[in-house]
Amino acid sequence: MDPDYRDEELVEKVRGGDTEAFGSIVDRYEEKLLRYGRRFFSDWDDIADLVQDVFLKAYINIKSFDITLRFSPWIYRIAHNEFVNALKKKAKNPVSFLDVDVLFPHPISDENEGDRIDRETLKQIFEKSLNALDLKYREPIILYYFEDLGYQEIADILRIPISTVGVRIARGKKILKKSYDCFEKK
Amino acid sequence: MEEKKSIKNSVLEKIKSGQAAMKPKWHFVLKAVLVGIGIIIFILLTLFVISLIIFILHDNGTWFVPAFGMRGIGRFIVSVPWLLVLACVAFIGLLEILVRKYSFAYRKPFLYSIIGIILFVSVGGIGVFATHMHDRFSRLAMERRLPFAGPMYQRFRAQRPIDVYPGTVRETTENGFLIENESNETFRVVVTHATRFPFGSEIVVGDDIVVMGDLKDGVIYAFGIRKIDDKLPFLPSPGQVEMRRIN
Repeated sequence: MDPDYRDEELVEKVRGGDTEAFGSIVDRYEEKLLRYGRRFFSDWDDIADLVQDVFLKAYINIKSFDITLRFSPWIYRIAHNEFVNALKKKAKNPVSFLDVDVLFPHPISDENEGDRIDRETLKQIFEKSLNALDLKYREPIILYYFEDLGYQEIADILRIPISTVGVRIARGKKILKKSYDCFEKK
Repeated sequence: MEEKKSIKNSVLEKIKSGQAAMKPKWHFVLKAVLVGIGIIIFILLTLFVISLIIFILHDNGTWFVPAFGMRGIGRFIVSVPWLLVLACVAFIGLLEILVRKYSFAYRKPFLYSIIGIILFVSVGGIGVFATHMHDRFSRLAMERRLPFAGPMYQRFRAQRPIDVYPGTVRETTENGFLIENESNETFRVVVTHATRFPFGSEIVVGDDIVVMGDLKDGVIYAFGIRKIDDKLPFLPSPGQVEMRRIN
């Protein structure tokens, strides 16, 4: 399948009966959705099963997608619903988080060369902090910083006001920063 | 990488084997139409209930008594048909749930959409009231010619507050007036030094008034009297309702 096709063009093809075009959609979003699922759950098999269900639901409901809109928030919305429903069914421990620098680009930039803090330890603190973060703050932060989605797209996925997305990201960051500061004092 | 392959293969396998099939377009159109119909039904129900609440309060004079101070406010609170108000709140809640399925609603804070809905149904409810629809239904109900809703109107009309008397001044007396209500009952109203006139005491024959006071032996000892000429221009007064019935 032509990699230059936009998602929405692939959707058109799928609607026309081109199953392989859906395979291309799976190729494009599988990694992203698996990564997104890992912020909710720790069990890899569970995540893979859920992501598979997300794709099947996307296929079943593909004719409800408004072709004039972007496909990415639509499939993330399905994934969000799937993960949240699964979370409600069974309480699982969300897993590890990485790319601390993306979240706080320069949290340790002022520290000197003889920094005693192990980078791995620091990462663990953020992972723990983020995992402990209330889901309502965690999800917008993940979508914004890790999935590179805009405020409006996040609003569409979570079905919350755009202003609330901003507030939750700001509050989540504040909580994370507090956790980091607490660690630093220790 | 193995996992990645298996997800894609598994998904495509289910699609090709027919285990997962696309829902037809009409399924989603029907769903959207049903939600739209649901919204319209709840809007109409809310408008009906709000206008009915205004009609009941207006018809029995309670709408006007808060101007008499704490006693009036107390009477107003007691006389509000709370069951209808609760129904109205429930309909607004359901409307909000349905409307929030649309991006124009969920992208805005909850407060905005709920205030928007309340404003819309309030203005709409007043508009429906101004059409005199309930007046006509009520008249039909009293004549036992209104099926289904007839008993409801009859019950609400029977639940009049014990100390609020709307009517038209038919005669002035030495210490008050004679008023006639819509059931053609006549009451003598006695004005005392304690009677409150929140909107002036210039009352003449033919004025529509609401009297709040205690009724003893056919005489109302007025606690408060107000003329109904300070109403909103599009709201009929109880007197106007009565005149239409006579005509």
